[in-house]
Amino acid sequence: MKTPPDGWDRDEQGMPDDLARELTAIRGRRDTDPPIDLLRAAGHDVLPEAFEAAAQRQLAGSRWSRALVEDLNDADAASLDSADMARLLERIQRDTRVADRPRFGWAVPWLAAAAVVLIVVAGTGWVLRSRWGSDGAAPVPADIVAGIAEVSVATPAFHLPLERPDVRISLASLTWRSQGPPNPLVADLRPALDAFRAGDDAAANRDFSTLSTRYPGAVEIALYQGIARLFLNDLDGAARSLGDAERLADPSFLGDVTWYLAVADERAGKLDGARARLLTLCHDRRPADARACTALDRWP
Amino acid sequence: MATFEDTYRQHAQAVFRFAMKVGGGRDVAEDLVQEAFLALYRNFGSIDQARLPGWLLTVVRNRARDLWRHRAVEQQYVERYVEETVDHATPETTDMESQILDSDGLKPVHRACLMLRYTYGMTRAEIADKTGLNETQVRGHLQYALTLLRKAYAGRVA
Repeated sequence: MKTPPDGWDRDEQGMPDDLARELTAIRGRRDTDPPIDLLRAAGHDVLPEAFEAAAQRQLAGSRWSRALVEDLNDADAASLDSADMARLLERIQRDTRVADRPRFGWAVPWLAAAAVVLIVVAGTGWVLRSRWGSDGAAPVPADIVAGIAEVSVATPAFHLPLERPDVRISLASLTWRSQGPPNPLVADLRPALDAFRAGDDAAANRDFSTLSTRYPGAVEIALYQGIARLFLNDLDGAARSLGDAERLADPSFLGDVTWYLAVADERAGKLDGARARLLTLCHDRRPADARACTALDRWP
Repeated sequence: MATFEDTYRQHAQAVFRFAMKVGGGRDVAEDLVQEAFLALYRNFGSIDQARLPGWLLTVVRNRARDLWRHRAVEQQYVERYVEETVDHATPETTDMESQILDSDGLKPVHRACLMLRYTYGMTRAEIADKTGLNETQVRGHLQYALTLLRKAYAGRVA
């Protein structure tokens, strides 16, 4: 029997070989069973539809899986002892203190940064004035001062952060069938997704462009190309790709697509459009998209 | 009106047990409980106490949905799940499996530990996470289950 990572204890080492072989055989048979977490969560209205259906099929058809879920529930060993209760309460209280901070606490670092910039600009002006003197020998060119101010006052222009998401593959792509080798789509996607993950947005954008003509129905190509283009500051291109992704209307991707469309809208100056998308994410989706609700709280 | 701490002490166990079922392990369950009570804290003044713990369980359920949605679309997880579980149906059941399932001496907790250890290859720590037991308890249950199984197996092959 294959040794587990934490090793066998003495009792387990003394297991008869025949018994060990039979257990190994069961393990081989059960290797393809769905993860126990998924089976256990079935029936509690938390699983994505396809998973719920598959888990229910497994439970209906497998006495073994059913018994395991029932045993875990019947064992009911899950409890919090007094130390756990206290530790967890402390975690919650720590977070409530964070939650109690002023609503515009996020602005403090930016205000501090703005103050530093003002000091730098004022200081630069003072140095230049003292170097050239105030007797009219060589006045500081106005465009230099303006240039310093323009470059230095880098206020937070956008409220919606542009962050690289975890890469996901749609069920449609994973189960895509063709006449050729088994599922070439996933294999074809890999280099583009690897480049995207690595932050090589130019390469990812090129690869996605090639793929998008070959697989026009693959939502992840449109979505991740849109995000790569956002990082490349190609706002028109990003809006086109994300618009394609939106039209494909894959429910498991729609939240991300809407979010990045809001990011693209804001960066393109379409603030009403961005806000409308945030409202959709925060108020119309169940569960609400927390990042959209947070962004709305801070929306000017 | 009960204080937030009183409410926490009254409902934390029930919320945690539900979180264990829908989250898949102790660490995740604790995170879900934390999020539920944090949400309660934010809304404490406006929540009708009579709606508890249902309101808290709803928060846990919503957070668990987010979690599963995230898990479900992670490439590796879906590939394994879709390719290995949907297309293959494991035939039911071998003699040895029936023996484990039908054993009178094995209580649910023993059988769960035994199945997770020997047929899912989990470490004792992983079993502890899934069951809510501690590792010492897992070790004890495994010893008991293995002793029973050996006896039953010896009787079967004799």
